[in-house]
Amino acid sequence: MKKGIKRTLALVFAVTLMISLFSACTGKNSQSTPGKSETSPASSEQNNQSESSAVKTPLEPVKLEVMLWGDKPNQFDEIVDEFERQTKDTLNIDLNVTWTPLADYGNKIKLMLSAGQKIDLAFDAPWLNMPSLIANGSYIELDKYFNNDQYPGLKKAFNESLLNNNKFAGPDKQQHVYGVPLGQGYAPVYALYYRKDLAQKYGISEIKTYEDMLAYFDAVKNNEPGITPYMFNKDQYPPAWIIDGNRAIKIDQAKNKVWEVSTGPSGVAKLYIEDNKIKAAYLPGESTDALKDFPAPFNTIDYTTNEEILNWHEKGYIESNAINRKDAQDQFTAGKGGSYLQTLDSYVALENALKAAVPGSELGVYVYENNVRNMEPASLITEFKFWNFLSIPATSQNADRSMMFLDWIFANQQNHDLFEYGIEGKNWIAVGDDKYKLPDGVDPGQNYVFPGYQLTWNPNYMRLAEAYPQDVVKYYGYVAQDTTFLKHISSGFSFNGEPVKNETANPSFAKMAADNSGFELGLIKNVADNKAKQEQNLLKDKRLQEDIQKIKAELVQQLQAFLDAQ
Amino acid sequence: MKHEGIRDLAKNRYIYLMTLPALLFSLIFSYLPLAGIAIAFQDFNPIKGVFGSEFIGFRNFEFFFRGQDWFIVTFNTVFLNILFIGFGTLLSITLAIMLSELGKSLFVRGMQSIMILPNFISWPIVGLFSVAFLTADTGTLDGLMKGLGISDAYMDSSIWPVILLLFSLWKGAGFGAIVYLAAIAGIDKGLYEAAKIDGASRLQCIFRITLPMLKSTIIMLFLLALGGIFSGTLDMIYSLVGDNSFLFPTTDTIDTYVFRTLRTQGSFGMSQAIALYQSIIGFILVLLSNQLVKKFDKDSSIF
Amino acid sequence: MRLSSLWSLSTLFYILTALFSLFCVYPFVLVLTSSLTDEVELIRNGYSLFPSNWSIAAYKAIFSTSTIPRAYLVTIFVTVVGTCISLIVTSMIAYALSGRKLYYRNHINFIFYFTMLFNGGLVSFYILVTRYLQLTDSIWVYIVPFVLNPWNMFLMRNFFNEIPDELYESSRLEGAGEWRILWQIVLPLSLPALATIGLFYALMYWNSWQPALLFINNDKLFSLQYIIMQIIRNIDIAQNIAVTSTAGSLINTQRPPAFTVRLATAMVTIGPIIFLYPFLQRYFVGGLKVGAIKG
Repeated sequence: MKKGIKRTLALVFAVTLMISLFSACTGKNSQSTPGKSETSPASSEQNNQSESSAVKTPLEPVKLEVMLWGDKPNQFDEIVDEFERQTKDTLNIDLNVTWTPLADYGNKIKLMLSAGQKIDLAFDAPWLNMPSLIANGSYIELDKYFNNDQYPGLKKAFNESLLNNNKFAGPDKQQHVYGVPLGQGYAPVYALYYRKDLAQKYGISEIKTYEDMLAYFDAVKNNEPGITPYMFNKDQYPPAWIIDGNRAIKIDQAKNKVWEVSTGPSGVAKLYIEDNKIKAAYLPGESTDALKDFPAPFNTIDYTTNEEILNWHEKGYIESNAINRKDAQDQFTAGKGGSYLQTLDSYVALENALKAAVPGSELGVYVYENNVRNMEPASLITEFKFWNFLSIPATSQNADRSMMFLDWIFANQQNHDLFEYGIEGKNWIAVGDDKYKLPDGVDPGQNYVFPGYQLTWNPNYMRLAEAYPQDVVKYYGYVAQDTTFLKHISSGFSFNGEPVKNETANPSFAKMAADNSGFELGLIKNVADNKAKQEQNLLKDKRLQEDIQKIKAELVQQLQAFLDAQ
Repeated sequence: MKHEGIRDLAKNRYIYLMTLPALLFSLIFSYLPLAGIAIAFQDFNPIKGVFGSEFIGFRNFEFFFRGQDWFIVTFNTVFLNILFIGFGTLLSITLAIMLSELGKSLFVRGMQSIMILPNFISWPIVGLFSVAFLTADTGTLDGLMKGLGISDAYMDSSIWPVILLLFSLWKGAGFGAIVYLAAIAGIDKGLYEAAKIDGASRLQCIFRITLPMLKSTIIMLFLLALGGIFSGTLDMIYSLVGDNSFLFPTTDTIDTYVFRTLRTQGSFGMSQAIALYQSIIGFILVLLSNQLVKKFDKDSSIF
Repeated sequence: MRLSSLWSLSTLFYILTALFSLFCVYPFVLVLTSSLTDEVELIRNGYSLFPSNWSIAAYKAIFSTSTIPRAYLVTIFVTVVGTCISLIVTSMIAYALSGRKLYYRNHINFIFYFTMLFNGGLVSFYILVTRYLQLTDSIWVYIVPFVLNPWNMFLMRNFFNEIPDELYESSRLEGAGEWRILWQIVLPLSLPALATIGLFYALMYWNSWQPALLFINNDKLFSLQYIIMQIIRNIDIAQNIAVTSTAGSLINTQRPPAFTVRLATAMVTIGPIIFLYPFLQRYFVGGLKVGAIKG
């Protein structure tokens, strides 16, 4: 018996002891941060004029915890080492970047904040956590770091109007900078990529108009049975983009003082605004009576685009059911798609993939928005907003140092390019001031490719790959000019959905979006009838109607207040 | 009663000691975090934490329970789960019995190993392939479906409970058979010998010996599965159905419904609230079933 | 008469099980061959058991990341150590709760069952592990929070229940302590149970990736499954991103890895673990009960 007790107890103790011992040990280990105490005097090897004026005395070492998403780029550790080597005597930062898959990134940030973990810089965006984290005070205001001579790099890269357009309303209802805005342009130029070799085979030398495009689709449909004329992913670029783009609907609306403003998951509202006063508003899902005060022809719902989509479907220009399509780009580059929609900067990637898979193929580009194609002014509507930001949580102790780090990156082209492109000569070669190419013999699959939109993108420091043809490059010049853009009336405004959080969480909105995809894919015949039926059903949903009215009222109130303050 | 209990603690102290590591584990990892349930009733703010966030009563539940959808979605969840559990158990038991009857040859053991392979393929990958099988015009099963009068599997919601059942059986039945095989292996071989001497046929042995001996395992596994009847479907259904609203009437479950709605919202409070709803109704169901089972067979109940 | 009925029943069983095995293996083989197909051909011609262009590019891409061998080590350590600890803890509690030994057994049963249904949510679990237990960036974070799985425990208890009471009585009469009964009598008789529960735990530890996502930032401690999950999740999101942002094309330079890579990851994650079950099959033999009682 005694032996029995001993052995039982011994085992119980052993197991629990083992567990706690090991976890304690390794727990302690993870906490000790190796301090890099460099005491060598400051003679930085890099010619950082802007830096030497800002930082005179050597700083204590600081470890910055940066949260970014996606895969860790190849050779990233080497770039960080190089950065730390260059700034050892000036910034003295131990840079630690954690990469998390995007699907989990949003939640992980929230969890880390809940547990009080150290985050100094985090990527965030209006489509991610920014609205809720700004509203509950998780991010600090960064206004004081900009237009500040202590941070010349930031001052140079971010001008007044850029900042003003990328402010958010904080808990104090005032507009502040809550994130460093990262972007290369205010609006991308979208284009329809097509198979020039096929077009030429069927007598169309180049697609220059909408009719040319339809002729191309016909030719492909009738002569190439294995190729779908227009290939798209269900959630990405449905035919409506091209059709609407061609009709220049948004520009038309804007010229008639009708503007679209997003309310988040509850849809995109249309507002009729005259002399900075909101005269009428409509949120999809509510009765079309709300449209009657809009100027014609915007006072009724127009189904022309849906009819045209159905037409495309019946003519066989699109797949019979694209609902499960997720790899449209791969299909196009493998030769199974006749055309594909993407931004202009995908040109090089698409061309490489296409040429590799389909011998004798040639990539053609058709910019389907007529005004844009002709490079006319005031053709792209924009709020001058960027979509990617770097924010600093309120729990960080190193806000100043983090901003100094960013100041360094934006101080000059050299610093910027270190992170954006890698080590010069090894990962890339400069071609002039604004282009670059890969060194010979470098395997693109193993090379350093950094997601600039998370740290480095800025309109002042852009380089284009040398391989872009002049056709594409000219559009980059076009979007670099301010005159190209038509300023959206709500520039600088972002809807704060917190007061109507429960209303926007109404599952009917998600269901509405899911139902609309049937129309978007051309799967539903008798468009007018079925749309009317859909409307009837939505009107019957009392809760939805109540929620829509509440959200609309909130939007109008917020937007009007914003407009009044202009 | 209490007296009896304390006497037992003393008499069986070594056995109670054996329960300690597990109980300690449960206390730390299962009971302490239960404090998080409070989030269901809070407007959770990560900076303020669990103890500082504002209490808002049942507001987090509102988005789900307003309107009719919650009923349809709960019904789908229960219906689909019962379908999967019911047929799955049946198939697993049948497979286990058949395999055990066929002996230990290399061929039989090989088949056993093959049957569990689908279990190792995650649902997202299965989803990729399901498209290839079921797509109209080009799918592998297209001819079969046309023969059955189904024009486009992805637009017809009525057949999807069957499709989902088939996927569930494919993935889980072989693996589920393992437990029953283990149970059968533990049956006293002497019983079979005695029966054969008495002239019983093989089928009779199966029905008179094997099945009754499996009874307690079957009941217990069934009871355990019962509690999860209101949840656990997200991975599978989202991978196969995705955002295809045509199929929602028969395949939308509580998990997928909430996931879709909160995908862009990401409110911890709201998702915790619905998880709580699922836990509570599952719990009530199991409490009742457990009591019922106790009446008939005291040793097969869970508690 | 009996001979022919024996013959036909077996044949029927053979046919049915063979059919089901085929049903199971066909898609599996398809995943395998597709992962070995040239990427472009896969997109163009779809899946096939006999592709015309073979290619191991997908596997090369996966194994080129130097973290994979290290991840195998991490995963193997976690699986072996975790399964051992889990089996010890689980058998102890399952044994204690089996039969009618303890007066408070149903109370304890309830304590465990309750935790199967009620969950405090991700936030409190996260805070517990990171703040109070300090398990961040430690290999033990894959094991410690998962040592006991109540479902496995109930299953094991169920197997122990099958052992007849007479066996206990005769051992107690000989003066054996509880520990000795468990270790020297019950466990050897429960080989199928141990093999089964061991398999389930091993699979759980082998497939573990969420702890890596939440608690581990040091890429030397990533589990195999986590690395693979990263690849798949990054692909899916890269394709959906354009919906939510209209400006600043995010995916112009970063192309998601090839389709075949996704399939190859499915194969690689399975890896050695499928050989575990065949290895354990030999333990699925009955106990020596009759002899034990009589002896």
